[in-house]
Amino acid sequence: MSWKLDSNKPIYLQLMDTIKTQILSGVYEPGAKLPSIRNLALEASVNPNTMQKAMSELEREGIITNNRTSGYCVASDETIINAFREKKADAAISEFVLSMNNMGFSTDEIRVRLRHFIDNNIDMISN
Amino acid sequence: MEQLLVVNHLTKSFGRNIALNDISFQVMPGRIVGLLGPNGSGKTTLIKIINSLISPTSGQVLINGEAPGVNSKKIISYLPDKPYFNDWMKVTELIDLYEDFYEDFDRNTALNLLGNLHINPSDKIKKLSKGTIEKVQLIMVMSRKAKLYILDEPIAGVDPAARDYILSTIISNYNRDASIIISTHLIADIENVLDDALFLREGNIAMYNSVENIRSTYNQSVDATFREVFRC
Amino acid sequence: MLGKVIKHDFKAMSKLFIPTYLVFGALVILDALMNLVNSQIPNHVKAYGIIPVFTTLTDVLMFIGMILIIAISPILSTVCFYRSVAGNEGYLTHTLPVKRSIIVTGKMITGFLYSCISLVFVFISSLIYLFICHHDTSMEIISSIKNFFLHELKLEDFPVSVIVGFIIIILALIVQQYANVATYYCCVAIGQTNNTHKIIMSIVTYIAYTTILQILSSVFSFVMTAVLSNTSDSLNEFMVRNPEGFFLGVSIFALCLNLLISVLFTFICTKILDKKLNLT
Repeated sequence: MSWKLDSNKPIYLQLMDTIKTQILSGVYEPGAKLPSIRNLALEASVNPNTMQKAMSELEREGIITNNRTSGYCVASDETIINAFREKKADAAISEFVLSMNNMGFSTDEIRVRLRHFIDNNIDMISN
Repeated sequence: MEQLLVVNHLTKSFGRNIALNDISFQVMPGRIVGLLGPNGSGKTTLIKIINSLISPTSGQVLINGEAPGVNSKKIISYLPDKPYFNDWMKVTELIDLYEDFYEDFDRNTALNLLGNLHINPSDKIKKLSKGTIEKVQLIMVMSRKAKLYILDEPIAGVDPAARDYILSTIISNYNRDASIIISTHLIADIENVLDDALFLREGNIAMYNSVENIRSTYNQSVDATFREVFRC
Repeated sequence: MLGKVIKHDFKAMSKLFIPTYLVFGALVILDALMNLVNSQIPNHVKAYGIIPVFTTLTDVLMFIGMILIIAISPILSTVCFYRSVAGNEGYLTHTLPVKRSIIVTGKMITGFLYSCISLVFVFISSLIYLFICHHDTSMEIISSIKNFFLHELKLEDFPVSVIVGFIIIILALIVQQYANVATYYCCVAIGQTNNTHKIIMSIVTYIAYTTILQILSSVFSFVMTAVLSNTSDSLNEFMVRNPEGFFLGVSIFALCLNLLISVLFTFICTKILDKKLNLT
């Protein structure tokens, strides 16, 4: 698991983002138990307090829940995660379209190129 | 919660050279603090005073409420930036010494950590490579359940893989009741592990802030901030 | 804690002392063997052989070795002390949770122990040498000593003062060893007060100290002789009639002086290291 962290921005936000992405991509299923803060901090090579802050924020957002005895788990209620998925998808699509546009492609050309890419790379795409 | 380390209007001068100029700060338990500054900024002097290796000219240092002395040495685990063992010691003899003098030393932790690195305890320390010697010293220091760990340049002069190992050791050893002070030049390598950064410049505190605050306030890494603060 | 300091210091210094003792032991054995071989050669052959020459050589070497071992022991101890207190090892020594006075005292005791061991070592080696090389003479001496103790010695005959005197002389010798070590170590500590030339400062201090001591004792002897020759003859008669008593008096004086030096220098050494230590 690679945690690509940029020291120029607050780390805890990036940690939150990475964990959310891991949940989305199925590394942690809904309701699944997350590793301990210490282990996550080790994995990411970050300060445990920073990881703790990220987890507390994720708990506040409702993405994960904290069971006193067994630690943090992914929320079993998928609505919040789905909301996050929607938001990320919108952001990715917006970034893609705007950057293609910046390069000079028209909306029709973008549609064609997108369809073409998906048709020719079906084996690379997992879902 | 009681402050673990209190430095109060601390001044240290050597003749006319003022190494530390009326500095004050506190460290709570459970924090990993980076002590950052160029050579000659007073880092080493501060560390020596906390370790009771030299005495202040004026001002006060309190570790768990007590001045530096025998009691503070019981709860401080110090890693100097030089080899500190007797020339002909074997690793096991160093372990015996630590076990004899420090109640909080755990032999099994030390042996496990040494085993992970394939270091043979019956080797003479002097015969090991420089990087291995630094790892041995770090292992000894981290095998104590101390309240305050002071690491002076733990990753300088060590290859990147060993650096990762050392940082992992520091992270996995973290506990809420203890604090770690890491004095270093290599800020970029270490800043993700820090809670707070204490910048020393020419004997004065230039900045003492949490690293996340620094990142959000200055929109750049601690390393970049350091370079700005200490621009030559 | 004192015991632990002594134990670890003793182990550390053994790495230096044991090889030294082994070399000396080998020298003693070599010399004994050479003498044995030499004694087997008939006299008329001896004048032309190299073996007698070698035997004399080994005799001289062993004699020098004996003196060297006794002289070098406190120096070896001092080198170890310097390294452990002022060298990089100081970072380990001075951060141990032990009072500095205990560290200094423990290290002085260890240096003292090795000086005593060296003395004993030389003594036993000489005995062994005598026993091997001059076997007959040794046996004679031993049987006459045995005779003396078993037949001629009666407890009433043995004045207590002789036993006490004997004990005092041995004690004086022992305390002298500690005082020597304490003096050397204290000079190391004083050397630390000079920031740039620590070792030179230590050596200069030692030379200054011994010179002053020499001058003081010469002056003292001179004054004492002058005083005594002018005072009543009874004192002079006492010295002449009872040389053992006089010698005993001197030994007691030396014993007390060395005790004072030992305690004083241990204290000074501790205080200086407390205030003036600055490891680089």
